[in-house]
Amino acid sequence: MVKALEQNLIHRCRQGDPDSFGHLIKLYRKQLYGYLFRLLGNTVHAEEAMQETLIKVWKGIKKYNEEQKFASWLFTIAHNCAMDFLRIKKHDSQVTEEDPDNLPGYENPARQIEKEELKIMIAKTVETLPVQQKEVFLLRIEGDFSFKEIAQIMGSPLNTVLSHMNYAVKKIRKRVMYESL
Amino acid sequence: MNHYEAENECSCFEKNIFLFIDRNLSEELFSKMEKHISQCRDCSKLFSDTVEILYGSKIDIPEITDDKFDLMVSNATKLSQPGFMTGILAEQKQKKIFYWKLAFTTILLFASITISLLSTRSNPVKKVSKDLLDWEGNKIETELKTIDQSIKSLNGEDWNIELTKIDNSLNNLEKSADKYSFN
Ligand SMILES: [Zn+2]
Repeated sequence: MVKALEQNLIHRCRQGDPDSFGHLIKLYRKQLYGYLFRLLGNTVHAEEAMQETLIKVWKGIKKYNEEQKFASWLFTIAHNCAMDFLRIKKHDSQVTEEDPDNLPGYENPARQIEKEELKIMIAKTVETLPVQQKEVFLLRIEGDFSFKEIAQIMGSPLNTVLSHMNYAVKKIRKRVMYESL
Repeated sequence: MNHYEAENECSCFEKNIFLFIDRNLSEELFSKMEKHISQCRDCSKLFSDTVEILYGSKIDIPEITDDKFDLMVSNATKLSQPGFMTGILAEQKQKKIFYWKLAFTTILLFASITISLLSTRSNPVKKVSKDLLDWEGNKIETELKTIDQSIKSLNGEDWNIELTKIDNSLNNLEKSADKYSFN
């Protein structure tokens, strides 16, 4: 049903119908904005990157290959926009790679944390992740993509994506589930 | 199962945990891992923590307002038809280039005339006798017509050809003028 609606909207976009474009993007609006907001860290940057993404999607919709999932194609463009954005803003230089095994507190005993509190702590830790780990994590959490799809979106080998995710989850586990307890 | 095999199975589980969660593994490996977490406390804990992180970490974030979203869609779509960005914009660019070329040629022509009139060299037009002008008149007129036609027919493709023609005509005119100057 959603797939048929999506295909119909894509078809109309290709004929130049801007209203259909609005409806099409609305299907992914929350996911897309959530991903960009958490990756770029604030509303201003997220909105700029989202605007750039929409311009590129509209311009490129005739080239979109329907054999690919539309969401994957959309997020590939968003990923590229976000990466350009991060390169320009030099966010990369502010993020330092840390070895999760050097993080203190792994041996601390576990204790129950309220779910909401846990979410906030995870979110704060995600903010400190190196950009590629953060990206894999957010494409999974906000974009709801499988790891295979994330590899396609990022243009990286699946093993690299899994390795980024492994590091990200290790850090979150240590910091949130053990260190802070 | 010996210690080495157990360690090996744990590292295999850790390596494939995300594909296990996605069920993107062969049936054989999936069953093996499923069996392993039912027996291994560390991997079972790793699995439950990972699932909690993956499914429990979606936070409420500020949503983009409808007005802002509509504006973004409008900004993206108002420029042109999808995939036809080259249409109107390219045409306008071509026109702009043409006008610049025309302006440049006109300036070049006027500059040449002004220089030849203001030059300290005796003015060929003023000093030449009527007889001599009649004699070379047709030749000069032809060159001026060539320049005039070149400017009229100027467009993007034959810009260089027309510019060369104008240059040649100006040279011919100057040569003719030199003939009639008396210093
Ligand atoms: Zn194990």
